[in-house]
Amino acid sequence: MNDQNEHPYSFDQLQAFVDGGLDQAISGQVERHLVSCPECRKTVAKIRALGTRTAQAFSGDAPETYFTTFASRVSSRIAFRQQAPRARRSWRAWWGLVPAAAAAVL
Amino acid sequence: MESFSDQQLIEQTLAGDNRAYNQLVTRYQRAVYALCRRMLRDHDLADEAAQEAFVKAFFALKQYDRSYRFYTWLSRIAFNLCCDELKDRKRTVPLGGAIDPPSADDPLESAAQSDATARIRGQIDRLPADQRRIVLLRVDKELSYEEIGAVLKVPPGTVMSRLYRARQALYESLKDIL
Repeated sequence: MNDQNEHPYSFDQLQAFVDGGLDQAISGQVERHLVSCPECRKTVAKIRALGTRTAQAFSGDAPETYFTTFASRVSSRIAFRQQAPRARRSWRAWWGLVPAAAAAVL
Repeated sequence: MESFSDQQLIEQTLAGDNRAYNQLVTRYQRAVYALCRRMLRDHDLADEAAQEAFVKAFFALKQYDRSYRFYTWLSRIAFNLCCDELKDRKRTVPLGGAIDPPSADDPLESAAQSDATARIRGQIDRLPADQRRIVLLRVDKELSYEEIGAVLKVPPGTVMSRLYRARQALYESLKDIL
């Protein structure tokens, strides 16, 4: 995309710069290059614009009330599943007594 | 409790304090829901997947690998649940979906925005699955390349190159609105 001599940073590196994926030293070098290079600045602006537009396109959020009850709903599910095996075990225990009780009656 | 780190809350949860887990849920509920919503494009399905992700994480907490950030691990669980849901229903996500477009006061501006929104979503839907997933995981910038790699089980370099190809394709098709 860029002439290597004039533009020492590839699109991949500019993308990583925008995404915070470069180490601090290289990120600083890119930042300095951007000051004097309108073309790379334009590329960075495009990467940022695409990120912003994409985020806007998926910005649909649930109403605030949804989140105020979310943790308690998760908590109820956890409690239910924690109790469910116990309940099954206790039923099994009761059923296990049935043959013994029947034998006693007979 | 709000000031506790994720690791501290995990330790407390493992010690039997469910309030600590509630705190973790509250901390990440929006991000997990948003990820599920982006993947599934439906509030009810996203709600189900997001809740299940937290429940599954709770019961698997002992197996949580502390070399990852808790949110990365949680994202992986949520991501896999969404993939299962999409696979199960052999769903082709309809363009537009149920996500409300950004609002604007001016009706013309609003129409233009919603048109742009539909186009962006449409172009993302047209990306190859391996690129689309990375774009959807990267949207809210919560996950680094390494973390997306951990979610998808691919090296960070692969994340970077797929993201590069996805962005190039999106530029080409959306340059008139960027």
